[in-house]
Formats: sequence, structure tokens, C-alpha cells
Amino acid sequence: MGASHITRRRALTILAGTTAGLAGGFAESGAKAADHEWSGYAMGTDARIIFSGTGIEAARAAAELTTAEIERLEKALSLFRAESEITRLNRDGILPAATGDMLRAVQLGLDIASATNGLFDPTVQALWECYVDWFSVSRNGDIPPQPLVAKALNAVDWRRIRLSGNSIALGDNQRITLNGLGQGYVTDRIANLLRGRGFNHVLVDLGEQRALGIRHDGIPWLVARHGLPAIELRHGALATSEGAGCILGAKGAVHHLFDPRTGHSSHRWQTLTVHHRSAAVADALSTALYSASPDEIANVVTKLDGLIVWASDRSGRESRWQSTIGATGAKSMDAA
Amino acid sequence: MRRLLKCFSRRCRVIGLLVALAAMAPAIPNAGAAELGVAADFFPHEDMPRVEGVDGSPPAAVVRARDGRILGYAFSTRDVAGSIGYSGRPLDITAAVTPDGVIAGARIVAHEEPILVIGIPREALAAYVADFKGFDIKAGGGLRQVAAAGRGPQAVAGASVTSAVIRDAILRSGRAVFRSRVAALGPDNVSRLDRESRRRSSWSALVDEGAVKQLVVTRGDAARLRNSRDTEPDKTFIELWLALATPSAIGETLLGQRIYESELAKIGAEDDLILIAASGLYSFRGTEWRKSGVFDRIELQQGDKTFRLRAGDYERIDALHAAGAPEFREIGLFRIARTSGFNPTQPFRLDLSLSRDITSPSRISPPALVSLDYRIPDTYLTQASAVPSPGAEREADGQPSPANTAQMQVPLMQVPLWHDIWWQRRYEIVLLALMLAGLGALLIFQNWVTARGRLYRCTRIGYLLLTLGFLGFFANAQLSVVNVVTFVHALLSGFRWDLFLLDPLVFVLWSFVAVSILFWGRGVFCGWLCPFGALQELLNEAARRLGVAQLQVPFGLHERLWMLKYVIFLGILAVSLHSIMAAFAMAEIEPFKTAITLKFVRDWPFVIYAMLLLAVGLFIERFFCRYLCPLGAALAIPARMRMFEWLKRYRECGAECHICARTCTVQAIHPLGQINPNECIYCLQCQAKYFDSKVCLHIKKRIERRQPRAAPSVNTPAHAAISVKGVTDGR
Repeated sequence: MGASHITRRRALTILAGTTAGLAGGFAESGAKAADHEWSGYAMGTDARIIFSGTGIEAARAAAELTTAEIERLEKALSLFRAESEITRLNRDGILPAATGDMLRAVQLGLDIASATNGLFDPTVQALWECYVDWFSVSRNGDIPPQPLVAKALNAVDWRRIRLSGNSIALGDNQRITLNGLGQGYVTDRIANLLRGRGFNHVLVDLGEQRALGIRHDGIPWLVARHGLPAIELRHGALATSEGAGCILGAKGAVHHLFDPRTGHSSHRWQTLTVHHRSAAVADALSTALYSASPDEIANVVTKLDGLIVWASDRSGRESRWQSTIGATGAKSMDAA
Repeated sequence: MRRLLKCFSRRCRVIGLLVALAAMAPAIPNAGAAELGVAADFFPHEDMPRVEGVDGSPPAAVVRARDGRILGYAFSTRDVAGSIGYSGRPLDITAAVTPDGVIAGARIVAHEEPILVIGIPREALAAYVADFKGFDIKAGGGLRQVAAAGRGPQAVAGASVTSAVIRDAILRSGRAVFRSRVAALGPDNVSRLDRESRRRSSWSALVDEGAVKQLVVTRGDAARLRNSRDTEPDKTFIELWLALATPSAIGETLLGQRIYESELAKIGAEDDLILIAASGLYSFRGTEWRKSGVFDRIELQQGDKTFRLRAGDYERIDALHAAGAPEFREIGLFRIARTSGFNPTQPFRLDLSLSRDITSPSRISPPALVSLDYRIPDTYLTQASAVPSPGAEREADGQPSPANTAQMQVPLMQVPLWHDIWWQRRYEIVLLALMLAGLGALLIFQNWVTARGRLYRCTRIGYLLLTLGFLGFFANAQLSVVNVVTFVHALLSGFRWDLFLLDPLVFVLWSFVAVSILFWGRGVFCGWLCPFGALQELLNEAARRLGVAQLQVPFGLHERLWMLKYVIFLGILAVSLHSIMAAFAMAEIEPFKTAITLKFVRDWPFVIYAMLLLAVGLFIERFFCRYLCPLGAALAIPARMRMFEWLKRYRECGAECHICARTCTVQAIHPLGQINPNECIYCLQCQAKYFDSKVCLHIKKRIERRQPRAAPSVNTPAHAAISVKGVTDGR
């Protein structure tokens, strides 16, 4: 988790359905209805939106709308903004009169923390800061000494976050990050906003890929993964966690996905992908389950609806779990 | 160079770059205006660019060529956007944007710290930043058409996190500066909301033109969003309507004149009113707002701004006034201040959050939200009036040169609405000022006036006629308990002067009344400046001259009936806390509107009520004032603070003579002689008697004592009795 959740999806790529695209033809192709891609920046990462079969004017209007919405949400959720609500919360320990988006994002974080028994924990920001501070002074790239990590770990406990009315309060020395679900939250908001504007063939990619319908030519979206089979996405959202996405320190022993129980990077899985109808939930769970054992993953998947999880271990072998209800919308291409 | 950077950061060296930026941080705490000088290098040397001082919001400095042209605007990303690097420490880049919206150049404001980057040369970073030269930041700049077919997997994008942060810092700051300096002057922003035109519309017309927008959420929709189930999915969960109620055609139509005007009075000239009405199972208000003071289920969003709706800016409305409007379960009116950044001419949306369904089978469900888009129809927009003529405006609409654009930077000064109104009514204001000055003089020199009985009586009748004719029938400046309630609510919800300045005569009158209450009590208004009071007194005067016998209410009963008006006032005040609309309906106990403002042209129950009061007033002088008037009660309460007791009495008053007590306009004199200042209307009649040797028993006695032998028969009890009788009947 931590501030550079960001790069893990750099390992991913959206494939535009290469062969199928050629075969399918384009009823609405041409200047009026083409695919337009908007690229920008959101929540500390590169953002892309693909409008499939949309005229340039409609795409431009949607891009303007999206830019403003991202700007608005970053004022609440982004750690990279000096006066964002989350920055103020981390600075002051308390945030009175939070906006609805901030409250909902934190509430969802706490729900997921509770459902995963703390595998997801928004308060791991203290660990991230501890590691960053350490590596900014350590020249040889050794991992930080255990006492330093233990001290940071003291501030990690999601149960000390208090939500009451419209204010949020943290425990002593606690800092939170929403980067484990913030990008997903923003993705959901944008997707819903675009759906309300009548867009039905859009892919929103802010690190998590959320499909708003399939492509206008009837072909599902294809999300590629590093050294793993691509995933076909029809609806809902995919979130992938990959430790290699953001390596800390010169020796590469530490990455950004911490296990909130130990304070160290998790090394059980190489890559873990979650599908859920909500990008925020997928985002948070892909972070949480990265530190989980196969039993713990199975437990979460039985408990929750609409979930598919792919996890590949360090030998490259991929396992798959899915909920009994509502686990549709995405399939791995090796099954095909 | 960008590719080079990608190479370096591709797999695992990202953090090194972060650390590099972090290391720069201590060297740049005072970066700012001084650092913007480097921006001159971004522009062609032959223009001899000069960076001027930083000003404005967001802060930026004009870069000007030798010939005075504006080449661009230089800014610091840290000052404009508060940019933060990945490690959470400030990141500062100086950049400049041209008036055409193109980045002229960018440079990291960094010093010679060793860079702890593994393998990334400082030059690569500098080159990456410099590469932004020529980037078009205008809206849609990030949009491009992509080949729809045959596109292979994109190369794994290796742009590092830091490059993303740098890019965001430059582009976001650049856009903010560009928007504020150049784009804000585009034609889109010249249009303003028409706040002046007064017209009425109807519910169906408002719906047709999109001035009122609707959102329907069925129970099935809600269940799907909340990850739960519903047995009757087709029924309505909530049906919600949204309107910008600031223009009179919308607000006055929906709310009715009285509520609309009272709400307008609570907001500043540039603030707005938003109406939300709903029916169905779900409440948009919920209950949380009573505790937290902020509505947690609804939020307005406009562009990049979020507007939380606060309990202090909220008014509960009982029903819509517009003919044909449906019945609603709940209606709320919200005041939005211009200072919050809300722009009524631009589209906005209402987000309604559906609270979590605690019976939901899965414990995790993403936030359930529905949105309703709103845009005020163009008919409610006008062009800015500061433009001298339509022709000139059209010329200006052509491509403005950068220099022109820069000169237009001074925001168009908006004269507050109340200035115009005061100017339009200047003659009335002057006349009222003279009236009040006269009254003030009369009160200050009251002994001199009342000692001259005839002068006093003429002045009194004349003044009452002026009050009734000019203040009442002509200028409609009848103060009312409605003003008091509005004032109390304004104090509760953030007092603003603007609102009370919209009616100059009422404002001037209230100012005078406030001072006079402090000096002499509430009677100055009641006895001299209230048009309905004047009407009652003049009619009673006429009746008396025609020989109508007066009813004397026994003092014990009279004293207890006083309480009624206080109860009425407190009742209105209490009800207003719940519903201001109901309070205004209760305020109809005042016949002021019927008798003075509408001059009896009104529905018959109102007319009969007012007539009845006046009729009773023929027998019991100022019957309404004595027992019923809530405004009198409202004024009597603060009047207990009054500073002067100028009404003169003899020690003997009330002991053997009750002339003043019996002839007092409102029977405010106790049988024992003292004047009750809570009830006194300061008509000064008792003062005229005080000085009148033909009436006052005490003076008569004194004269007699001085000339005991001059007229021995005057002081017989029989004579005294006759004299008292004469006064009572003929005054």
C-alpha cells in the first residue's frame, strides 16, 4: 500500500482486443464515432480513459467533466495535495466537517479492514513514512532496523480511527493513506458520472480498470498482466497488486505492499488480481489479500459476494478463487 | 530524454528519484517570488522579457516584453498548487504559461544537493521538466484519437511515479494560472444570473424549461445500489426535485412572494438559493444534520468544488406555492454564499447518498450514490451590464489580443443592488428623514411643545395624517412583526447588512426606532410612526367628535388583557423556529397588510377582520394596540432598557385626580398615577394636560393657593367634577 501503490498497475496494459477487433468491424467508425483516449493524472498516478465509439466533441466534454471531478476528489483524498482533507487529517489528527467523499472513502476502508481482519489497514502510512525516511538517509540500502519498524507499527491499527457524524479522528501518531482504495474510489465516481451522462462503452483506468460496458463494437476489454495471462473484462473493475511495482531501497528487498501485522513487505505472492463490481472494493482487497495466506483469501471470498481473485506465487503458478454469488464480468484468457 | 528517464526508473529505481526530490526539499523553503526570475529564460531573448512582481490568486507574475506585451505568466508550482513530492515534502518547479495556454518553460528550483539517485543523472530530471515547453494545457489537451483496431499491447508504460508528480504539478498550476488570468475572461463567464427581473411562472412551465429538475430512484434501484433486496422494486424510493431558486421567476413562483422575499433578504446580492423537494420512502435530510450541523446525505458538486449544505443555511418549507406543484414529503431551501465559489450560471449536480442498508447480506458495499445534474436555462442569464453597448461587446468578442486581455483583468465591479434602490427612492428617503428629524426635535423639546396645548394638538393630528398618508398608503413603510422575526433569524443564521438594505424606508425607520427605543421606549414608534396606529387614533378621534361614547375597560381586566399580545408575539417567534412560513401566516393577526399595504383590496375574511378591529377601535381607543399587537410586544421587551424618563408627573397625580389616566389613549396610566412605560405609546397627551392650567387639577389648586381670595368658588368639589366630565367627553 503506501503512497506509491501507483506503479503496480504500470505492469498492466489494456489490450484493445487485437484480433477480435479486426473481425468485428465498426458500425460507427469514422470521424464521428471513434475511440478516443484521454490521458491525464489522478491520485498520484497516470490516468487514462478510453471512450469507445464516441465523437470527439462528446469525448472532450466528458474529459473536461472528468478533469474537474478528479480535481475535486483530489482535494479530499490525495496525499499529494498540501491542503487536501487527508493531508489535513494526517497533520492535525482530526478532520471536522469532512466532505461526503472523504467520509465514504474512510468508511469503506474501515469496512474492508473489518471484513479482512485488518489485512487491509488505512493506517499503514506510518510504515511507509518510516521506510521512506530510512531509505532517504541509508546509502547502502539495508532494510531499516527492527526497533524503527516496531515503533512505526505501533501507530498501525485501523480500530483507533473514529468516525462520528461528519468528523474523522485518528489515534495518537496515526497517519492514514487512502491509496489502497482512493484510486478505486475515484475510478468508481468517474465511471458513475460518465454512465449518468449516457456513456456505455468506456474504460476508466486509474491503476484499477473499471469497465462501463464493453467496447462499442461488442468486444470486451482486455487487460494484460506482466508474464501472466491477460484478463477479459466485461463489466466491473480489476485491481492488481504487484510488489515489484514499487521497490524501495537499492537492494530491492522491500516494496510498498506492507503486511500490517508484521510491518514488513509481503512476499507470498508475486501478482494478485481482484475483480469486483466496484473499483474501490477491488482496489482495497487486492492490497489486503496480497498479504493473505490461501486460507485467508478463501475465507474472504466466501464471506463476500461478487469477488474473483487470481494470485500467482513466486514460482509463477496462478490460483483462482471466486464467490458463489455474482462472480461474473471477468475471465482469465488462459481459460479460453 | 523522457524515454531515458523511463529506462532508469522502469523496474525498481523509482524510490531513488523520490529520495532525490526529498533531498532537495530543505534547500527550497523560501522559494517563491525571487525564484520566478528564471522564467525570463523561457521566452525569446529579443523580447527582453522582464518578470514583474507576484500578485493575485493564484499567485503569478506577469512576464512582459520590452514593448509592454504580456508574454506570459510565471508561477511556482508550490505556491499555486502546493505540490508535494512522493515522500510528502514540498516540490517546487518554476514554470510559465503563455496567454495562449501553452507552457513556455519549466525548471526545477533545486540546489546543489547530492542526489541519492541510483543511476539517474540530475540532467535527466532537468531535461524531463524542460520537456514541458510547448505543452498545451487547455481543456481537452490530453485527448487524442486512438486507432481502434490492430493495436497491439502497449509497451509497459514505465513513466515513473515522480514524473507523474512533476507533470501534475506543472500542468495543474499552469491551468490554475491560465484560468484565472486568461480563460476567466472568455465569453462564457461574461453571462450573469438575472437577479433583477421580476416575473411569475408556473410549475409546469418551470419543469418544461428545465428550471426544475427531477430524479426518480425506485426501490429496485436503491436495493441494487445498496447491495440488498426489495420486495417491491417498482415503487418509488425517492422522487427528488432540484431548482436554483434565486431568480424570481423560479423562487417566487415556487415559494410565494412572502417566503421568497424574506429568504432573499437573508442572502447577499451575489448569493444563491437552492430548493430541494422530495417525496417517497427516503428522506434527503435524514437526522444526522441536527447533531452535526451539516447535511450528510446531500452535497452539491460543481466542477472541482464540493459544497456541503449546512443546517444554518437551511430553511424548512412546508409546501410549494406554485399552482400545479405536487405535494412533497419534505422541502428544503438552502442558502449558498458566493464566497464559497458557487457559480449559478454554470452546471452543477446534487449528489444524494443512500445510507447503508444494515440488513445487506454482504458487509461490504461500495458507497451508494445517485446524482442529479442541473443547469440554469439560458433565459435566466443576462450579459454583464458593465459592457457599454451590445456593439462594443461584439467587437470585444473577437480575438482579444493578449495585451487587451491583460488590461481586462480588473474584475468588473458589481454595484450592490441596494445602491440602485436607495437612489431610486431618494425623495422618499429624504422626506422620511425630515419626518424623523421633526419627530426627534419634538421629543427632545417635548416640554416646550406640550406646554403649548394648541400647537401640540395640531402637530399631533398633522403628524398622524402624515404617517398614515405618506408612510402608510404611499410608501408602504409599515413595520411589522415579520421584520422582527426575519431579524432574529438573520442573527441566528449569519447576519448580513445587505438584506436589510433592500427596503430603504423600512431600514431607516428601524434604525430610528432602535435608537428611540433606547432613549424613550417603544412608544415613539407605536404612537407616532405606525400607520395602522395612526389610522385607529384618527378614526377614534373622528368618532369622538361625532359623539360616540367611549367604553372604559375596568383596569383590573385591562391589565390582564395586556398579556395577550406578549403571548401572541412569543407564539409567533416560537413557531418561526420550526417553520417560518407558519410564523408568517400567524403574523396575519396584524391587520397591517390588509389595511395599509393592500388598502383593503384583499380576500373578504381579511377585510372583515381589519374592519372589525377598526370598528372596536371606535369605542375602545387603539384596541388592537392595547391587547393584540405582537409588534408592540416585541418592541416593549427590549424597551425595558430605555435610558430617559422624561414624562412629567406631579406627586399628587393619581391621588385625587385621574384625568390623565382616564383620557390616556391606551390607558397606560395606572389609577394610582404612575405611567406604565411598557404600554405607553408616548403620544404626550398627558404631558399636554400636565401644563394645561384649564385641565390639571394640581395647577388649578396651586393657582388657587396663590390667589386664595380671587375666585373662592372655583375649587368646590362640584366644579371639579364638572371639569373632569368635560375633559372626558370633549377632550
